[in-house]
Amino acid sequence: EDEDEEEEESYSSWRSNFQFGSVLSDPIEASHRETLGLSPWAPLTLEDVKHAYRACALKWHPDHHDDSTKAEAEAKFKFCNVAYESLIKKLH
Amino acid sequence: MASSAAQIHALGGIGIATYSSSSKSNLNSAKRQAVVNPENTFSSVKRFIGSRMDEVAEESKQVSYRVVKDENENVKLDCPAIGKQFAAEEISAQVLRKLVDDASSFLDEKVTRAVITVPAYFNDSQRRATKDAGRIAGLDVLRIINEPTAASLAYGFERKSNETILVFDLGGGTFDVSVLEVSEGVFQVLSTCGDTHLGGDDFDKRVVDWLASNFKKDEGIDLLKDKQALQRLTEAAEKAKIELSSLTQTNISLPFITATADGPKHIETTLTRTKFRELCSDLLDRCKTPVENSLRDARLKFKDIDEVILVGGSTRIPAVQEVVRKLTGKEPNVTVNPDEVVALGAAVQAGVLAGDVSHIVLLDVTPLSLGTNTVGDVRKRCRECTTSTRNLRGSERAEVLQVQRRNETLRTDSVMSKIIPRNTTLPTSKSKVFTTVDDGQTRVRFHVLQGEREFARDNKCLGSFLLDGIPPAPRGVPKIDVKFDIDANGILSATATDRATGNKQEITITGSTTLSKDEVEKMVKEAERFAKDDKQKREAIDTKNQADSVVYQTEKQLKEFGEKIPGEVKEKIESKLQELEDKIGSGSTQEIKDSMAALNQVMQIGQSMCNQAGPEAGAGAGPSPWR
Repeated sequence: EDEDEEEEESYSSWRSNFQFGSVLSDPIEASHRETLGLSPWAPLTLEDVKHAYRACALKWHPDHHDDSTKAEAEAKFKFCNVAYESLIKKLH
Repeated sequence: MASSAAQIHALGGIGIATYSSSSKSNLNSAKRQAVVNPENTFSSVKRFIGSRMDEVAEESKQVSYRVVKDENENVKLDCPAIGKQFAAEEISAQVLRKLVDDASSFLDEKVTRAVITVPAYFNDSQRRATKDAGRIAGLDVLRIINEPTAASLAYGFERKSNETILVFDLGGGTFDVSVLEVSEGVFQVLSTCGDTHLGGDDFDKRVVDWLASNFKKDEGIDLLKDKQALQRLTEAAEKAKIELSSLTQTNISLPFITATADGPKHIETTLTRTKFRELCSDLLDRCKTPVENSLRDARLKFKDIDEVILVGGSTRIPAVQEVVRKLTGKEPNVTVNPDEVVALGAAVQAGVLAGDVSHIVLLDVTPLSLGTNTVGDVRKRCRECTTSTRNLRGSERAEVLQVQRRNETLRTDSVMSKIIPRNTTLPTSKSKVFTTVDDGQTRVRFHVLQGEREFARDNKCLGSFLLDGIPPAPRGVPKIDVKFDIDANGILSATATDRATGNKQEITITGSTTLSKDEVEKMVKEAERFAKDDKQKREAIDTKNQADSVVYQTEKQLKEFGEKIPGEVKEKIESKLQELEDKIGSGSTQEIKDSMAALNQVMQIGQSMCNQAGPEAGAGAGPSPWR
């Protein structure tokens, strides 16, 4: 278990080295924001993230697509899930 | 599209909740049958579907029919009346077929596609078995959805407000709890938890045991050993349980339950609500843990819940409602019909899949974690091996690097390494990096596991695959990417890729683990044949009935109008009539139809002659006024 912690620790120290206090400095977060269609500058709020994710779900969930666009939508929606999970984790 | 949507809707509307209970009349006739013929009447099949014998040892003792295992340790239900052992899938398929037939005749259209619901806590094997049951019944199963989620769909369908809801679903055999956030048309499942072996049947069993133990104390006879008595006890227990939902006490009267040399024995007793609660107190306690766990997983407190919705017939038990009230501090919502709400929800989802409903979407989760086997005890030993992977890129270093035994079978000390944790929103893809445990190891067998237990063996194994041809290297050096993917239909596929060679192995888990593809194919054919046989039998009976009535009508008409038609035509009719009567006795359906047509032909000649003869005969009877 401490192995995991060690890994986690080195990763976060790596990340903090590159943080300048602005959200833009975290390229992963920036990309997740882009996936959900969130502004890269606005402060991150739970409400905004949830609202953006719901809009994505209605648009990209494969249930709303027929065979011609299903695969693409599914891939897109999986990205949205990853982005949402990551941003939510940040807010908790 | 509209008509196909209607088809799925209809089936969703009926096909759902428990395929152990079909239409009411069917259920009641089955219950009557159960008393007379306990060994050949199947109930609570849902508890056995997609399971191995060792997983349902307790349940198998509680049913009136004999549960046996096949050579693969899978459950089979013995039917001594026809000397056959059925898979639970086949029995479920029969129920589904009946529901589809009812739906088809109601809609006057053939139903071919369906959304079927299952308890949320069903594992992958149980879900696939349910899907197989649908296929055996000749259905294209569009989706398997979770019962509490379906209930929330029906509940929230017409509501606009943003709510966090907890669905408490206690049915006949299973218990589920789901926490959802409903907002802006998105039904997002946050967590789900449950107990696949807790339900109304267990409450009945407590009353049965109580009755039987009292009887044993008084009379010295063990009624549980007598299948017919047991069946009557179970029926009385269920009736008492239901009555106690509206009354504070009820009488249980079972005359002639058994007989000894002294004469017949009866049961005559009173059960109070308090006593019933006492008998079931541990079952009520078991309802608490899944509620607490689902909230913990959703990272919520009881105060965050806006509504508690009760689903499933067993939530009518006052003591169960009391538990929910005490636990959540909320008055449970009883506006929905607990028996129908799940079916309605399935119909909503069917509408979404048919493209008729576009303003809502259901985001469901995987209820149990999925992962693969890694070696537990040697992980420490190999820790130094993992240092060689330090050159991995930063994001990858966050992955836990785990070791993989070369052994073909699951070792007792193998642990489960989770790849997709429970309550992950579907569809999803997740991957992890693995490595070897021995120097020069060239092959790795991955087992696809589902469950929450620490040791691999305690989880459900859904399948396994072998990655071969890894270039020999010191332990810990090879890097193998293992990716698990679940699509929106719940189809799980696992891929392992060796980074050095690009070698790839994958497995798509489509069939259930209890039936092979060939077996399902065979059952589909068999069921089709039976359906054809049944149809032929019905047609034969219908034709015979029709022929009987034609014979009756012809005889009647011959008697009435016989004099009015020429003798030769009458003879012809009589000979055809005789022919038809003979065919009814011994002919095939087609022959009966043919001779009916022949009779009809001569009858028409007779009738037209009769009509022509009519006025003439009238004219001959007396002078016409205008002549």
